[in-house]
Amino acid sequence: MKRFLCTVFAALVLGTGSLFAQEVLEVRRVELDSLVRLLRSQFQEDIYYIKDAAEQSTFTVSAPRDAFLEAAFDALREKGYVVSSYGSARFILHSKSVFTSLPSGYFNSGNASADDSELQRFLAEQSAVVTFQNKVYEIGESNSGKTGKAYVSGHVRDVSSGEPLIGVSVYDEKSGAYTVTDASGFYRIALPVGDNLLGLSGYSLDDTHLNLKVWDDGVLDVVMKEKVLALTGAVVSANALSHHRDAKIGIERIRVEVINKIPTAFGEGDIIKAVLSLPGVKSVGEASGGFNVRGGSVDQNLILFNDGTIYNPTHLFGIFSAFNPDIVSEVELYKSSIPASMGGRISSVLDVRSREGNANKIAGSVGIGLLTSRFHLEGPLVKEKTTFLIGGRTTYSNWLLKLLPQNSDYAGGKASFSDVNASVTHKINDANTLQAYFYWSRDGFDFSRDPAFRYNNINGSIKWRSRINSRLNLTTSAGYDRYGARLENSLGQNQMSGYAVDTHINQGFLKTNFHYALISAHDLSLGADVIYYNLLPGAMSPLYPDETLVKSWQLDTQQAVEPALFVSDSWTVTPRFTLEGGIRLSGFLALNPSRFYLNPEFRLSGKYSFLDNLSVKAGFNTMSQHIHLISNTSSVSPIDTWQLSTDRIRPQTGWQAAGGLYWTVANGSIDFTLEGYYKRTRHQLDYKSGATTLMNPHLADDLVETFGKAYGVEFMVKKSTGKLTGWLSYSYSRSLLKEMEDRGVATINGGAWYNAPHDKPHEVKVVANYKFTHRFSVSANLEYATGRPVTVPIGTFEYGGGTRLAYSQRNTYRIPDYFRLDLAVNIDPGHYLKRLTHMSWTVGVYNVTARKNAYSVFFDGTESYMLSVFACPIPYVNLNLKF
Amino acid sequence: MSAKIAFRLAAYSAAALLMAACIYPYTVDIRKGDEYPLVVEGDLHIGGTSVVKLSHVRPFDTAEYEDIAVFAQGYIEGEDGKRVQGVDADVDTYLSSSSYYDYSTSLVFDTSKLPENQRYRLHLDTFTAEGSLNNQFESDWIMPCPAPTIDALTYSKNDHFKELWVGLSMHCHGSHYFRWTFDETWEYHSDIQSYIEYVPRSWNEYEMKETGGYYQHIMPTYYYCWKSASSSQINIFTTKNQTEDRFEELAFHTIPLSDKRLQVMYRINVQLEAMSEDAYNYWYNMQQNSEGQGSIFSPVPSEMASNVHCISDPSVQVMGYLNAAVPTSAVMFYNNEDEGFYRQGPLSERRDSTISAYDISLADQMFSTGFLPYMEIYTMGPTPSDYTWNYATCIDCRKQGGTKTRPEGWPSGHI
Repeated sequence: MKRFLCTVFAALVLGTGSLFAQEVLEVRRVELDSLVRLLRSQFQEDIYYIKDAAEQSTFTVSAPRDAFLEAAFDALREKGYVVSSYGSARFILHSKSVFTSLPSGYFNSGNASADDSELQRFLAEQSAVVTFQNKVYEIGESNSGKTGKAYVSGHVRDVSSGEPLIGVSVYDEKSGAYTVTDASGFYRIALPVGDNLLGLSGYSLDDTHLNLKVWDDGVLDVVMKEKVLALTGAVVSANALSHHRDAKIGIERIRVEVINKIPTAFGEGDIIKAVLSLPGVKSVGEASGGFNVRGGSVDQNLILFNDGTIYNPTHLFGIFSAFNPDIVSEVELYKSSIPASMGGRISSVLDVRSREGNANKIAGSVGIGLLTSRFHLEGPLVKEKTTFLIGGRTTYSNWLLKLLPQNSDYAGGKASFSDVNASVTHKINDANTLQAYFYWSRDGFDFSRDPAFRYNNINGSIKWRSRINSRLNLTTSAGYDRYGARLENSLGQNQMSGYAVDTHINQGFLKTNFHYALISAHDLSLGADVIYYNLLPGAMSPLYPDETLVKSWQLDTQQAVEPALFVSDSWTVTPRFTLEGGIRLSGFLALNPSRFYLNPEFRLSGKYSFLDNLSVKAGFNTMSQHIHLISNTSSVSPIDTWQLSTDRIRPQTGWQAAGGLYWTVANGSIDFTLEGYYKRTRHQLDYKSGATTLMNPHLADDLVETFGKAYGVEFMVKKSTGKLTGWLSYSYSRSLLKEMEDRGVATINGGAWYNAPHDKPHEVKVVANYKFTHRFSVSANLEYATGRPVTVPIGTFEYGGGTRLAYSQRNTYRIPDYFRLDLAVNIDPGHYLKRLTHMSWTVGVYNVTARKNAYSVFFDGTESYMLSVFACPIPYVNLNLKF
Repeated sequence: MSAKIAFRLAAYSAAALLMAACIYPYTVDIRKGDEYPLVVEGDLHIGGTSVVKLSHVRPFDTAEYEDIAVFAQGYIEGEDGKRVQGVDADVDTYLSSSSYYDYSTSLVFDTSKLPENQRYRLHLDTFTAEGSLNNQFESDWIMPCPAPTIDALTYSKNDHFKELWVGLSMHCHGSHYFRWTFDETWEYHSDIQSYIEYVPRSWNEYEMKETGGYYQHIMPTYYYCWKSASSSQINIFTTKNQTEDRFEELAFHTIPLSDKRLQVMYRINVQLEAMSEDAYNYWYNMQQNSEGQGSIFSPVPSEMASNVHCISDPSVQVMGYLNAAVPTSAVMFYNNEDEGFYRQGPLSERRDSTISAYDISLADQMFSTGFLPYMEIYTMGPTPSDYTWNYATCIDCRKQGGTKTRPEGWPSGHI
């Protein structure tokens, strides 16, 4: 009930001696309601307010029209109100207020748009706790006459940075219809016409519930706010939820916040190490370049960074990962159900996405560690249109090398890496967004003894996202990827014979993917990819061109085109039963000599929920792969040779069948997962005994094709809310290989199944974070695994003047079991929003128990030894400064 | 140096970067193999004498290997059908490199009159200890490789590593693959030169307590010694990626400047031969298997097939690869008097003890606890009143493994 207490004057006064006419407005002893009404009518301002019930202040304002608005606000401020503006809207809120509902006037002001993101963002910035239950969002016109289901789509963004939120679950709380936001934060969900309750939940985000009145297809953009621990209101964690909604099996999603809390050898958040802490992911040792998923080899993982392929995801022989943690937003690993839109590798897809950059203000961070430092900067280039993100890392490890003894082989050596990420996101309009990414990295090892190594990654791509209509959207990207490696062997500075070997892979790609909401229960995805490869397996050149005897020659470059067509459908048969199916027609045209391979691949998975918190899933996939890494070392090395399928090297193919049981308890905070799989592969390449992999023009003759067999069970319990978060997993898995052809006595292990180098049957992993206060947390990381198989000699013999080792069967012996515990203390900045910089510290110890884990076991004559990479505890300190 | 070996170094370096990577002794409990393959080592030296050594792979539990001694006979056969029968010889006469007592058998073939322009193969029959025929082996046909020419053996001082680098220069017509071995001999001296020695009392004299035990002047002294060693690592190189089949000053051997080998005079004798591509690959793989292990990027060890096959039982494994070649050799000396590269390392610990010339009991005691006299002290009269003693390791060069036997043709005048 509002009423005028006083008369409102409007008087026109002509100022004597003034050249300018000035209209003076005046109000006397008006209440807040009246003042706002005046301001709205006189100034056409969007003004919203919430009146403190206990507040009985009245206001008197007198000022020229030009200055009246400010004078009115000053008067309000005097009485303890806060006046803020957001966009074109102004908000008048009492500083002491805690809002439990939206300003009531907001809904009466004729603001028909369902886009409340501005208001929500504003309110969130005021640290108000807002619930929207009293607001009903109307989607579409009430007279549309539509029946059945309508599509609601939109973007989910972070409230403070305006960045898209990836992997947020969006679900109809009544019907169970469910979707997840994509890399641009986009979602689309089919809702029955009428009243709906839409839930949104994401990792470390406060759950949001919105009342919707759906008339027709429409748009609803939502902002969400990072969860503050004391305000835990989450009912169902995003991850647990996706288990019970999504039909896909074997998907792991980790947000960078979690990654940054996992202790690593030098304290920097490491994406690859985080992936290795998941069940079903293994590596051959602590300094290895790459990882093995469910018994697959390292080259069977497709590593995508903003759609570009990363061929070497590590720096410094696997001690650091190639991804700067400051610019990464989320990592998704597909261990079993690989979407039909992705392909080209038979084991897994690791999809790493960088952030878009803060849309509201310039922000950044600086990180300083013992061996590396990094920075990043992000912000708007054009307000609300264009954002940028740039980041870089470099090492200063050379000082460590200088500390080594003068006469050691390493004195005077240099080992370093750097990388740069840059991206620009431009919003053309509400329906179209363009993004450009760039990534560059280089590694160099230059020891005074031979040889020196360099390798580099370059990726550049452009992506266009378009919402064509409420049912159809399109994502298209095009880009270029390059991986190059160089080996320099001076042979003791020998001017005549010193040589260098270069290899590289260049690829250009074009990917198009349409998402179409076909009929209410179906979500269709279709599209096409094409990759053009230009691969140089090796080029030799003299290191000292002046006096050299070294021939400049190269192996034939390999060119190929890899087209693929795919279509997949997600079908919600009943709210409890979901099916997903897809076909990918994967082609490969090898050029010079030309040979075409065509492999249809099938993706099938289904989910049935017995209860809201208890589901089972099953899946079956077939995959094919046309690029192969030829390595005869147990750990992949940067100069290992990549090889395309040719007329002589057939594509690798494989299938995987998997099943899982998912149970969520304790109000959604604890999630039990049990998954099992069985997997077979064909034409996986192994090498013949004594094969030369570097600069070998007849490499195909030195290779053998193998059958692969892998199976396993993975159990995980995960807690994602509360003071204690993290997961515990156990897996039992085997990975075996067998030569496809019988080559008589030369057949590897006599043609029997033999252990793959990464076959480590038992594995226990624990990742935990305990938050004592908002600022202070402790992280632990524990890993136990059966020792990996190695080949040990059966005896010795004298030959060529020395004692030599004789070997028999491959990979029959196991190195000792692996155990490691890491601890870290994280001190995060306080929640002082006004402070310009936020400092966080991580202090930790890697390998706390100082266990001497064997990386390898080897013999020197009759003496046996083990090599331990991190044999002692490694303490570290990392400082992060955010601004 | 091979790329993989080189890579191993870099990987070690990366590990050293962490300063935490370490190598520890570790006992591997190896299950016993079912069989221990026959090892056939040797090259057919066309135009010279060929030695083929036969042994077995020795299990780590060496108590077993007595059972697998080799009893064999064989012949070398040319494409022209002519055969040269092997003569059983004591291995130590021909191959002194093995420091193990072993049960190997060597067959010596007089291949000096065989023509180089045809292929050869080796035939072997092995027998059980009781003398009955066990297995028959035959090699593939092997074409002799041409003789390379050693152009030079050189040395240079590397100041960065404080090492002497020994380089080989050679050329060849008709082969791209080379292997060489070397043996080295050096003259060095002890820290203290002593012209006197003490002759202790014999047991009888000791009993009598009155006689025996005396000092005498000696010449030559135990100051200069000679010592020798053979290469144990595999030295191979290929020119297949070069425009010419030659290389110059390829560093293959390094000696720290403080090593005793450079103290007085050093000699290296290199034997070089060309080989087939397959033989090179076999040696390369063996190098990987035995020398390239233990690092992060070590190749997974595996065995290559030999070119000697068991024809009586194809499942019997054979190790080793026969090559046919015409070897060539060269010698190089390093004289520290001319170059002065040697850097004196830390001297052995010294402890001077001066005792009375008449205290024979004490002298005996000193002698038996590893001391030797090196200095006479005259206080009065024409005979020494005291002798100063020191550790034998500082005085007697033989205590460091050398001998007083001067190698044949050794140019220095020291005795």
